[in-house]
Amino acid sequence: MSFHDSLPTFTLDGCVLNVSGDVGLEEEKNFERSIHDLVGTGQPKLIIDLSEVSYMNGSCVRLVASAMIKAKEKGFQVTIRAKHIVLRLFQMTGLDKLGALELVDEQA
Amino acid sequence: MGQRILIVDDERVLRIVVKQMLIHCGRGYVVDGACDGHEAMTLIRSAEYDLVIADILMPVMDGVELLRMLRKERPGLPVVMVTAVGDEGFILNCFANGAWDYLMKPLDVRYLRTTIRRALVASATMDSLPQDMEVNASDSGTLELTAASDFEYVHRFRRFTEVLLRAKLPSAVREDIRMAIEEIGKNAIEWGNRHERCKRVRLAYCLETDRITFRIEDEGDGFCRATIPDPSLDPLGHVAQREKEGKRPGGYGIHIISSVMDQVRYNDKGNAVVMTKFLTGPGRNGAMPN
Repeated sequence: MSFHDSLPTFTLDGCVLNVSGDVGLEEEKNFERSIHDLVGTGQPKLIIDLSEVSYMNGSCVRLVASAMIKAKEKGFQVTIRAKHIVLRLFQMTGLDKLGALELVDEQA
Repeated sequence: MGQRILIVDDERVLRIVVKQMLIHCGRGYVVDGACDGHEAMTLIRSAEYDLVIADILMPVMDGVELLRMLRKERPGLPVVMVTAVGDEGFILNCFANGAWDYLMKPLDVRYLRTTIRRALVASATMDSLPQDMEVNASDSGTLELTAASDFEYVHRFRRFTEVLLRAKLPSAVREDIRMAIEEIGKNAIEWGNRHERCKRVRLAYCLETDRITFRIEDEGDGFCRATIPDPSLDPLGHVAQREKEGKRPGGYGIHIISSVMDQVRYNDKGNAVVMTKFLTGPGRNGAMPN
């Protein structure tokens, strides 16, 4: 894994929000907007695909948590896909209890 | 007209390569070149630039001198140093003189693009950024930044920390450290100093053979760590309680930092955090050293 930052991208494709790159302090607003758009689709099954995210901070975890809670309130299901480095943040904060977590094979 | 970038490097080939890369990236940048600091200052005095990318070792006027002059004349202009010089003294000198970032040659083009984009975003607000910052460092592996309470300075501290520690710490440790700086730095500005830029934030690290210790302090009233519940015990209840208190979902950062750092301690007032990551020995992975 490269420690270098990489240009983050946020792409909403149906019920899937694809996020890639380095989502740190500077990218929180873009991430928040994308998450808001995802929940706003009204799809009953939402996927936040973080498998191409190389770094994410606790504030971004908060944004995902907000989405998971809003979705849960509406009876939606949220799945988070991520590599171990990101997935562990959700496990540390207990957010794995709110939705499904899928560990992505880092070699893939 | 697009955002204007000035490349300052005595290597003509590098100026051409970076210029072509920026012109063809589709963002409409206007790119000029200068072969030394003196020529750069002449151009900067005659046109409005949004970003300067500068080498360090150049004839006539080097990159550090250019930084010093820009800090006086154009303090809101971000300057990214691009250099083959990895010497700590140069890195610290650039940090102390207000460089926005420090990239090592040979250049990683993808990373250069990311840095340029972020620096240009920062340039939009840099003119209003209080310029009071003070950097102290010693040969014994310590670095301290005291600056106005703004995320911009947390960003710079964490970037220069990464540059200085790149060859000294494994990437997994650096990832955890980055997270710790961002989370606690953000808390200091947001919750500690309540976004009051007239207040100051102090960020420091001390690298020893078996550990690295960070200290982040704000000028706020402090808080009691015990009042921040562990969100992992009841994630929904945690959010509901915060909503009841009129707060946005949060409280995750402190918990994550307690997990990724080996020791996290607060002073009595609750406005300073000392975080330690052990690099070797029994203190690693949560076990407390004797």
